Amino acid sequence: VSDLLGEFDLESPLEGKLLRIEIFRGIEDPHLVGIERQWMPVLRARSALAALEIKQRQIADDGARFQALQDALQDCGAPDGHWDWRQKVLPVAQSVAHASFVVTCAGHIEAAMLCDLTRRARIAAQQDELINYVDYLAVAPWNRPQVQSPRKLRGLGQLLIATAVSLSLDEGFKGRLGLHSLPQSETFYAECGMTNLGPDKGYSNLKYFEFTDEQAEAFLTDPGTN
Amino acid sequence: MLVLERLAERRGLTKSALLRQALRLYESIERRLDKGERLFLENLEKREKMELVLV
Repeated sequence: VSDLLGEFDLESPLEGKLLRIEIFRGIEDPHLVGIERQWMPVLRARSALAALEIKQRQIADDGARFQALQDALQDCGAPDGHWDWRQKVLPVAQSVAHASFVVTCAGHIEAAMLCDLTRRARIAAQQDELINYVDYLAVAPWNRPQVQSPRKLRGLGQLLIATAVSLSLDEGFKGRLGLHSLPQSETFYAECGMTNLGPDKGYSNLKYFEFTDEQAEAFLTDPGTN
Repeated sequence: MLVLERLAERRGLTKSALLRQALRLYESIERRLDKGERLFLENLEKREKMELVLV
């Protein structure tokens, strides 16, 4: 069962006013249905268009073609068009090692996050200490500037990262947090104050970011407004 | 429960946080064993490798 963690007012660039959102711990079936019906048709259509565009360019080199597709998916705001949230969430729904969160606004699913509480830190100063690892984080297509301008809500990323830091604090991990970033989000995590440890060869070369306890505390004090 | 206090201090966790973490570790290992994976302890210097069997 989802637990309501809190209600907040976030800026809506689209509507030019504050909108009330709710954040819940626990992604349930109705949330997954919302993601599948509201997010995925948009993301899959954009992914398909990006793939078609790359195919038409007839790039001979496999590596160059793969990179061009990744770039096109980033540019169209759908690098996660292949994610299956149901498949990610349901196997760990009852797990004490994972925690999931969902943000809603008037019945619409605005953002979702899945965390793993069994990972270890990589920064030398906190090497092997327990961290909260953000496995997956995404906002709805209409909250992405690449998909819709002006977007519906602004500040969802900060809200979810603050939620993840709070979970880390609650678990006694002192705010330590880690994640692998999709290319389009690297600037966001750097601006949050996370340390960029560079590309991870063991994780599709995505860059790995981590918060120390001091960085997490600084973030909670001033999360920024992007 | 001296061991609980010692481990909690070593990991910088409260005792309840340590117990939650132990449960997570046990659950994670069980999930992987259920998938058919096996758990080993390895000493590279002595070239020893032992399978850890959970009860």
